[in-house]
Amino acid sequence: MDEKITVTVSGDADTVARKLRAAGMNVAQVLGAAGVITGSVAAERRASLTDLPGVAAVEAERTFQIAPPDAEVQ
Amino acid sequence: MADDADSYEAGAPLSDQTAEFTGRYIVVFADDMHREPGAITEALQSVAGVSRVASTLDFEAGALDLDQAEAADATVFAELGVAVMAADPSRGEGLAAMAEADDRILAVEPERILRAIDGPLSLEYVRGFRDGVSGLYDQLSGTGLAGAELDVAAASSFSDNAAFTWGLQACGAAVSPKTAADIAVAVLDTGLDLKHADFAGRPIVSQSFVAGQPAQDGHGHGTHCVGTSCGPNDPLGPSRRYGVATQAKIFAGKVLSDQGSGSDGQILAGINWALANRVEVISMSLGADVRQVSKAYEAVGRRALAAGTLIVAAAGNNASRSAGDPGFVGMPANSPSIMAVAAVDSNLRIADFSARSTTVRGGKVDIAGPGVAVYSSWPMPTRYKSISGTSMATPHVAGVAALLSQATGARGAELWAKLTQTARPLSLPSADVGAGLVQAPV
Repeated sequence: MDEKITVTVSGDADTVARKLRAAGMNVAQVLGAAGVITGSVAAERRASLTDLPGVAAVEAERTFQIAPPDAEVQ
Repeated sequence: MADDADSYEAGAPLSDQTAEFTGRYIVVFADDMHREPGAITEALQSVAGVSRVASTLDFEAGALDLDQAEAADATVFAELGVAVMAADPSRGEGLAAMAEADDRILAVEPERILRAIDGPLSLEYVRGFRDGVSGLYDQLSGTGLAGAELDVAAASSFSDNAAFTWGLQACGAAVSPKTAADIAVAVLDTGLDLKHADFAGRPIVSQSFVAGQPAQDGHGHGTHCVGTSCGPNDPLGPSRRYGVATQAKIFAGKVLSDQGSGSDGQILAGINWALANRVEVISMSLGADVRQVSKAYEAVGRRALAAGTLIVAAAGNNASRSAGDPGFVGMPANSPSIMAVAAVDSNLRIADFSARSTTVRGGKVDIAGPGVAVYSSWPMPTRYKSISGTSMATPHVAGVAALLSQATGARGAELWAKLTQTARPLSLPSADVGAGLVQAPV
């Protein structure tokens, strides 16, 4: 079962992305200016990503929801 | 509440206000007084009759000795041209009357409880006091003591009129000469109605980060937020003006779908796009009711500040204050590197839904903006709509940040500091409104 994750990198994002791919992550976006890589990984492999050089944090992807257009408070 | 009594000229009645005041009085001295050592102490002694006066001039580098300050009847902040003195209300009133006849004193006002004050003066107290007084001092010296003008500057109740929304009046954008020309503001939301007449001819860059949906706003929230932050000086409506940064370059990033949902991947992609375009301000009227700080948003906010981009985000609408629930600042506004924005109403009261600070590091409200019954643009054919939320307060702050950046050249962390330093202190807990109500440069 794949989990969607957000990886915060410290260092060059492209270099870290290569290491993440090699470790089994399906990289969706390499956001160089923000220093973040998004994608998914098999649940059992997620913990191993945390130890890679240049990886500052691995977090489960969150979703955000705003109120519907006709709501009084948005 | 004493919302209608934000400041007092010399001679104004001071009684019946003791409940939310400290029992001390703030005395503001004339402009030239603080340059003469001893002049303030002398005036205080002759007008107020106090004998034991501690002055910052007596201590090295203006560092007040706390024990001496506590023992004194009055403490003079010589560099600020103000003094704080203890007095019961009747004496304070008498002092105000005497001060009216003495041109060395500009104003006497009861000291409000703005923060927790325990025991002797703390550094935080003095800093908060300095910020509050310097705003009052600027008003007084700038208006030559014209009472009517002072009242306008300190008004605490607003309403939409034919020319401006109440929010533009309350945050000073209505009278600011700045337009944010050459400043870029990215609004990461549901997109923008690119066919809205009020945005025709404006420099707009739009981009969708939602698969299968164009940047065209199919919800309305994004168009409302772009309107508040960057709406034009002369809406075609015809309509009153509702936009703060009337000439800012608009980056409309669609990170929330037409159904109002978005993922980290979409939002972070939008931030990355805004950073790559070196915008000065990113406005995010979105959040999740999560207390925990996200490492990703915290790191991104820090990198943005370092790169000269300020990110402001909605504190959240999870409070229900009338039911006793003050809520909490959610993610990503709870990141220390992202400015969290609370909402106040047109009487400068905290909005019922506006989330309060938490004890999580970074989980505090940093500033407040107009966020109740906010009139702004809405996708055609509706054209305009009034709604409420910390989502509506956030673009007020983003727009003012753009004006301030244009006025001062400040970016990133420096811009953050300017926003909080120039905010108007409110008689509300800082846990609710942070530094106070955001204020446009004049």
